[in-house]
This record gives sequence, C-alpha cells and structure tokens, in this order.
Amino acid sequence: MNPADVAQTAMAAPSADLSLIGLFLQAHFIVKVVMGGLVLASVWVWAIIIDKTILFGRMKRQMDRFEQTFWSGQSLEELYRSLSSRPNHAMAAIFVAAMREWKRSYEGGARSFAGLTQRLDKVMDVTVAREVERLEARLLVLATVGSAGPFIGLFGTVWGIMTSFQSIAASKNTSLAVVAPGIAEALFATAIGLIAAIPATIFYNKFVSQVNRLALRLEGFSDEFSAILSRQIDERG
Amino acid sequence: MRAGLVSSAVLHIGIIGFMAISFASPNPYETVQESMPIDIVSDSELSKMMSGKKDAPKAEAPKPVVEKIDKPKQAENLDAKVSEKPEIKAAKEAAAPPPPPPPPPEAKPEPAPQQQAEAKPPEPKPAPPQPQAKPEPAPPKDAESMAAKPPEPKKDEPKPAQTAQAAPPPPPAPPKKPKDIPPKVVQAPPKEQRDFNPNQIAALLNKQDPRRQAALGDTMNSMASLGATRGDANSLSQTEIDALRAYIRQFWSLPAGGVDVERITVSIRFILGPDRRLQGAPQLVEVQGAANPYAKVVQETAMRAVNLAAHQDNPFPMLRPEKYETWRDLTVDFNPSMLNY
Repeated sequence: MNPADVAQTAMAAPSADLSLIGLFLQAHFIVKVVMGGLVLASVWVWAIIIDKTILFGRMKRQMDRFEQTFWSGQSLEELYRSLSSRPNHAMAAIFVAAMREWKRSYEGGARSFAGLTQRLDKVMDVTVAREVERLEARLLVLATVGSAGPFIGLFGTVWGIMTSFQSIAASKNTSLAVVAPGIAEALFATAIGLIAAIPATIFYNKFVSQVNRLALRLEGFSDEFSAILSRQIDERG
Repeated sequence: MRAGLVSSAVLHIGIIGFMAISFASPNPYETVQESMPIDIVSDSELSKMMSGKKDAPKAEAPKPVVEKIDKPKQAENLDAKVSEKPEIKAAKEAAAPPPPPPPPPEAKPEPAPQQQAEAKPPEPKPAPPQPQAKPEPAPPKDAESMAAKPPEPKKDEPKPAQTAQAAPPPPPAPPKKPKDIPPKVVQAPPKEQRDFNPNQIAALLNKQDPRRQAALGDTMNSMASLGATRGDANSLSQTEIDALRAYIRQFWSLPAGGVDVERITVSIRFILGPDRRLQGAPQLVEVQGAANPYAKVVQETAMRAVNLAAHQDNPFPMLRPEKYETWRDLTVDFNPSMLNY
C-alpha cells in the first residue's frame, strides 16, 4: 500500500478528542451507561466510607468514655437515669436495655429471679445484634462494588472494543490511528471500574475488621454487665 | 449519611473537574527525526575504487580541451567524398615553419661578406665548381683560411665556428659573389623563395582531394580522456535507481493481506525506446515463491504497475537520454516488502 494513501486516510480519520471528557462523550451508549453507573457507584462508595469512618470513630470514643464512667464506681441507677432518655451509642443501648429489664422484673415485684438472668442475657444479645447490624449496614455495598466493579468496567471495555472493531470493519482501515481512539475509550471504562472498586475493597476489609472488634467489645461488655447483674440477683435472692 | 454523600459527591466532582483541566489532552509522542550526515557512495563508485597511495601527488582533474563547441561546418561541396578523419590543422601549422629557414640565407648575407672578405682570395676557386654541393665548400674555406693566415689562428677559428653553425647560410652566399660564372643556375632557387606562399605550399603538400569533413564538433566528448564516447560509467547511478524505484512504486498498488509475501519476487523485463515509452509488452522473467497463492496477485499488479508507469504523459522522467543504452533494457524485481531495480 502506498504510504501516501495511508497518511491521507490517517488524516481523514476523525480528529479524536483524547481528553477524558472527550473519551466519555464519544463512547457508545452502553459504555456511557456503564461509565456513569460506575461513577455513581464510586460516589456512593465514598459516601459510605466517609460515613462509616465518622461513625466508627465517634462510637469508639463514646464507648471509651462510657466504660470509663461505668467502671468509675458511679451508681448504676444514676447512670441509667442519665442515659435512659436517649441511649446515643451501642454500649449505652445495651446498658439501658438491660437496666430496663432489670427494673421491670425487680420493681414489678416478681418473686422468681430464676428466669431473670436468662431474660437479661437475651435482651442484651438482641441489643448487641441490633447494634452490630447497624454498624455493618451498607458495608455489603462496598463488598459488592469491590468485587463487581472491575467486571462491570470490563464489560464496558469489551463492548467498546467490540464496537470499535465493528467500525474498523466498516471503514476498511486498520491503521493504528483509526483503531486507537475506540480502544482508549473502551479502556477508560475499565479504569473507572477499578477506580471505584479498589477503595471499596480496601475500606470494606478495614471496616469489617473494625466491626468485628466493636462487636467483640460489645459482647464483652454485655457479658460483664450480665455477670454484675446476676451477682446482684444472687445477693438479693 | 447525608454528610458522607454530600462530601463524596463534592470530592468526585472536584476530581473530575481537575482531570478535565489537567489531563485535557494527552501529549502526542514527539517523533524526533535525527539527521545524520551521510556520504552517498554509489555502487559504481565503490566498484571502481582502487587502493590508493597516501603520499601520491594530487592528480589534476582532466581539463576540458574544448571550451566552445563549434557549429557544424556547412559542407562546401556536397559531391565530394566524406572523409572520416578530421582535417588535421597541425599539419598545416607544421608546414608553415619550414619557410623561415630559407630566409636566413637572405638575412645572413652580412656575416658572410666579412667571412668572404677575409676569405675572398681563396674562395673564387672552389665556388664555381660547387654551387649545388653546399656543405662541402665550407671546409675548404676553413682549411684555406687557416692556411692563408697562420699568424691569426684565434680570430679565424671563431669565425669558422660561426660558419660551421650556420652551415646552410654559407652556401647561398657564394652564388652571389661568383655571379659571372654560373649566374642562372644559382639564381633559380632565390626566385622561388621570393614567391614563397605558405598556403600554396600547404596546397602542394596536401595532395588529397578536397573532402567534406565528418561533423565532429557537436558529438565529440570535450574531455581529454580515454573514456567511452558518452563519458559515463555504463550504469545508472544510485539516485537514478532510487528515483526509478520510487516512480514505479507509485503505480504499484498491492492489496494487503497475503501470507509470507516478502518471499515472493517477480522480475519483469521491459524495453524502452529513446522516448522512454514501452517498446513491446513487458515480459515476466521469473517468479520466486510461485507456490504462494498470493504470487499471482503480485505478478499481475506488477505488470499493471509497469504498464501504468510507462503510459504516463511523461514516463520515467528520471531517465536521461544521454544514458539511453543503460536504461534501454530494464529488469525490475518486484518484491512486496521492497521494490528492487
């Protein structure tokens, strides 16, 4: 083939806007949908990450402070009175739930304390489970984006390369200048998928371990509180 | 949750905006073409190279002998025969010098009288008998003068030397003095000398019939060399080969997509006339790699390229008429990877 012809056809090829925005605008509709969805997923992932980081940090500080006051020798009655109106964190919720059950059973004049310990344990277990569930909420989104993001991006890439090959076949020209823009645009979809998935995976792992630690701590506290209450029951009984 | 969502959205918008600005368009690769100094040594120069001697004197380039080429002479007499050899002017010029020698006899009478005055007494006797045998009289003079004047040998000797050097002159001298005895015989040659006309002598010397001269001025090589008449190495220069190659390649459109096409070589021979147009149809000389199914395509497109190249308005503009013999019969190898001459 005459090099002059090649040069001419290369010149004739659409002068592609190779900026990122240009790549997005030139892409096929499906690829655009994939890219847009991945961008939204990334926004959502980062919203969750920010939200959870703030939540876990605050919860950790509140639990430290509560444990400090709990073990400081302060009267449990006073503590309950100050917290019962609005239990603002998991450990306080457990404490309030247990104290409420205790008060109902004790102040209601129930003579049998045999079932009280079991009821306290159940109430605290339920509260712990509810609080852990609240901590874990939306972490599954991170897991889903982290695992599915690359595949979604890859789908966009495959689709984009498919359409660019179709246009190559239609234009009957194989020069790299014709092929390159379509492939660059297709690869951009995978790039966005990876951009969304990598932080999602990293922070999912981080948050799962944090939730486990917090859950352990809540369970530990509920066990200790249960031990204290059962000792009280035995003393009274 | 709302705080997280808002801050995340702001973060993404910021990043996208930053990318749109800073990665607006990728930098194209800079294709730097380095220039390299290249001496072009053509194949013919290389093949003619000889081992040299470093301290050899620098040879001068052959100087042009003829600066200006004369117009072809109009034939004066069209009926005359055509002589192949050029008229030799040197012969005429060489013929001219002889006349000067004859005059000396006339110019040198002056020294002669002195000698004769000194040798007057002895001369008259030998002179008459020897008007034609000129050298002979001189020795007698010397001998006689020596004999006549022994006391003055020194003065006499130089003079004889002069006479000896001017051996021819003395002879004419005697004739003048002894006018009485053989006047007519001696005077005959002087008359001829007076009428001396170089042109007539030349005419006498050149006994040939006047002939037309073959026209040479405009065809002969003006370089003093032992080269061929055209003065060129019998080959196309590398630049001409490249130009020919590029020219034919213009017309060779080979469809892409063959397998192992670089092993196919199609040699096509064609003969060009002096007007650089095809004489007869181009012939297929040989096809290498004919087993390849693609060879047929290469062969046909190559044939078409030659035909197309030769049927342009100004075909093969790089072939100069001076070298017609070198490009009259061309064989061009067509190879899909490169076009060879």
